[in-house]
Amino acid sequence: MTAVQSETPRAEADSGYNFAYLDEQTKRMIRRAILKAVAIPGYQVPFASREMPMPYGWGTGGVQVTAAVIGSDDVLKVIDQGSDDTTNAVSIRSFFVRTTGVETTEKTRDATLIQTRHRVPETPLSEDQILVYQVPIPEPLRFLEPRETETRRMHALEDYGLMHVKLYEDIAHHGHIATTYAYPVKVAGRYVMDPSPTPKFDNPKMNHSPALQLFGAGREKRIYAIPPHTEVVSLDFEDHPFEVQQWDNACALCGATDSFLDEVIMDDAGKRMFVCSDSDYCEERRAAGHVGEEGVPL
Amino acid sequence: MSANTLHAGFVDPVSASQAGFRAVLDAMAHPGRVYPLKGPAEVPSGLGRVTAGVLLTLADYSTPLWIDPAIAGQEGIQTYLRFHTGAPMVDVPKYSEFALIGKGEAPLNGDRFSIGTPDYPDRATTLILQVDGFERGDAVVLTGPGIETPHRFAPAPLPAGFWDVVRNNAALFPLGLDIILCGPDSVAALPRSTRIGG
Ligand SMILES: [Zn+2]
Repeated sequence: MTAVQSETPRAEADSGYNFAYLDEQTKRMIRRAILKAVAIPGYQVPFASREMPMPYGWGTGGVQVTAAVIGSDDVLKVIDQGSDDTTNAVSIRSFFVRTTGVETTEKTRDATLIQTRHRVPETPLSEDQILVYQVPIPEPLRFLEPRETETRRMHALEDYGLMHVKLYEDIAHHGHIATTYAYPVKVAGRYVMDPSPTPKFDNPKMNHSPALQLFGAGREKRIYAIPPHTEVVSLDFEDHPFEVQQWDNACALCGATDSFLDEVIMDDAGKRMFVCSDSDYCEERRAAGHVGEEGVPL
Repeated sequence: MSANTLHAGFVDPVSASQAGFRAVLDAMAHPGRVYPLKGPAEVPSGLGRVTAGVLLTLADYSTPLWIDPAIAGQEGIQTYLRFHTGAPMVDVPKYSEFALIGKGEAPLNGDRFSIGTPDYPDRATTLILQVDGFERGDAVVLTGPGIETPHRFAPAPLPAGFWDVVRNNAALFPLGLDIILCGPDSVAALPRSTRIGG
């Protein structure tokens, strides 16, 4: 075989860090865990989570998954509760800029890699995108059963009766399923999975998404995944089917009626309005000429 | 081992491993779709460049590697993989995290490998097979997670028993064997979740 140069050398790294901070051995370990997670949709793969230069609760699991996946030609978006501008999102974004030099964006459609805490973007994702979720508690059965050996057994036996009992207790107490965040889903007809503390409003977006969805829990040392085009069903009952949140208002800024709304206080008099939680979505709509009740044309 | 028999690994391991991983990740996330992967420029005879690229990307001292006796004896393959990955070589397929299957005549027997345990289904062997291409074999139709509409897939050559291993994954799931297929310049995968037939 002739000696052809078959790799494309990377642009010179301009920092003292290894690319994306993690050493290569750690990346390999995380990459193997990610591949197993994709092969077994919804199953939580244990991994040897590393100390990261940020506290737990700041998304160290998601950061490690992103660090193992990211390449120099990725375009990264980081969101927290739908916003690119919170301290958490800004700090994670600057961490990756510093350690990889990748391009970043606030526009959902321009991103190849999106790390998120607590939301799925409103703009539909594509096959060319990977969504990485920061997860605090990956085990959907944990609050029913504190022992790891037992929850592992329950997953192995597909014993999800307790989870249904819990949801049914909601109905008994409230007349409806009161769980609105971290609403459990069943992935590809097998594993019950915690979709992370996203609002249940976002659960339908996980179903048959064209994008690969990866979940990283740093403190709990788990990685799990939903492959593209995979069935994700929110648990429910025939007489109490799954429903997403609905608002009486439209977004005050862009007039959207199809997005997740946050209630914000506008002035000292306590005046309130509802606005899109996904700031990029809201901005894009306003730029396209949509104006809500309190909005001004851009 | 002498200097002139040991081929170099990746020129830039950090970016080559990242690109190699993304190709395998894309392949695993889209079963039966073919993704380009650039391996090291020079590899020992009998070991494909893509195969070498996949193993240099994923294997290390913590991943026992089993090499099919049909190719294990070929000069330089073991030396090359041991040197560049540090992976311990094992004689018992069940103990392997990665199993490199040759293009030999020997039928593939899935029972020899680890399919994981009910509590830890991830502790299963990943099979790595070398093929000449993905178009000219007997076509099967794939369905399952990662596949939007039934997908035609025709890798060749394959050892006898190959499709039985894939079919058997349906009965074993969530246990089972994940498979990476390495062509001359691209990679495809069949995770255990993939089913054959509409
Ligand atoms: Zn809006």
